[in-house]
Amino acid sequence: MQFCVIGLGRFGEALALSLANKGHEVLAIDIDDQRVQAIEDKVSQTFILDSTNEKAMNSLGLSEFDWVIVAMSSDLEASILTTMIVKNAGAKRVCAKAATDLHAKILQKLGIDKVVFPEREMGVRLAEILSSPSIFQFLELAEDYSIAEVASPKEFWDKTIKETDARNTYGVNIIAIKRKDPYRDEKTGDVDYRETLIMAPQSSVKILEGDILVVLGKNKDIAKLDKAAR
Amino acid sequence: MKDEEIKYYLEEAKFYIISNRFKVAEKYLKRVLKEEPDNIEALFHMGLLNELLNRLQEAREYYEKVLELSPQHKGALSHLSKLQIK
Repeated sequence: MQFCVIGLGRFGEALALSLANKGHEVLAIDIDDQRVQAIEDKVSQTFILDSTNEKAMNSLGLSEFDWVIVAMSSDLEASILTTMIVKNAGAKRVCAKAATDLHAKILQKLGIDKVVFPEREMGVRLAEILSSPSIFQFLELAEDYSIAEVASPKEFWDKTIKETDARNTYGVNIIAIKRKDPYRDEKTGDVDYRETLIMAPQSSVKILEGDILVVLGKNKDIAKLDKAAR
Repeated sequence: MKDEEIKYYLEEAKFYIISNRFKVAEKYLKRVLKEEPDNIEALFHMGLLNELLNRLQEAREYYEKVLELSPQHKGALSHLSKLQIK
């Protein structure tokens, strides 16, 4: 896929590099030459450019990209102007980073496809992870629904997924199991473990002590499961 | 406790870890640590055991203790760095 990332602050830079690492074509733009130079050999193409300059932006052929991401949010005016220019240039899909609710509302009025609040979203995730020793990852999907990695509660150990009746008892679906398989290195005699991921496990799969369950469900139901796992 | 006994308990602990019988393994390791609180092998395997049981804070503490006693311990370094990013 082709992506254009505008604004190479910490968020934009990380985004551009991750997309490039996944093998996508990435055009990265910033007004600051040092920020551009820092990643110029790691992405497909870079430009030192003022993204509020409509003429310059129109020369980029933004309609060719699958996604254009406006990754700057600290300068509200520049973010809104850039988003307008990108939309007018015929970009297929636009995603923009918002700093505040008002900023997000304005971006949505411009008709963009996705507004992200990285700091807020990370804050919510981190709060969930840090507030519980048995939650290892947390990803909010919608207002009430999330995917979370939760330690398997004792009552699930040595039972099949069917026997746990997790869907009825806790209202969550187990979509994967992260398992640590201990083994002994025959040469050194040391014990270590390998991590395996059982994706979309069948109802006959047994849950073991130490398993981490990747569950999908309502936040309140995930909280119930987390409580049982502590 | 003789050295041979310590060795035996450590071997038993390792056997029970790879057999997923963590509670039994923990008993053997605790016996060793009661006699030799600074036994690096027992401390490392206590770290590993706690990691396997998702008790990550405890695991970190055991690995840190191993590194206090043996700063170049490869296993402790590798597991601790993995735990720092979790």
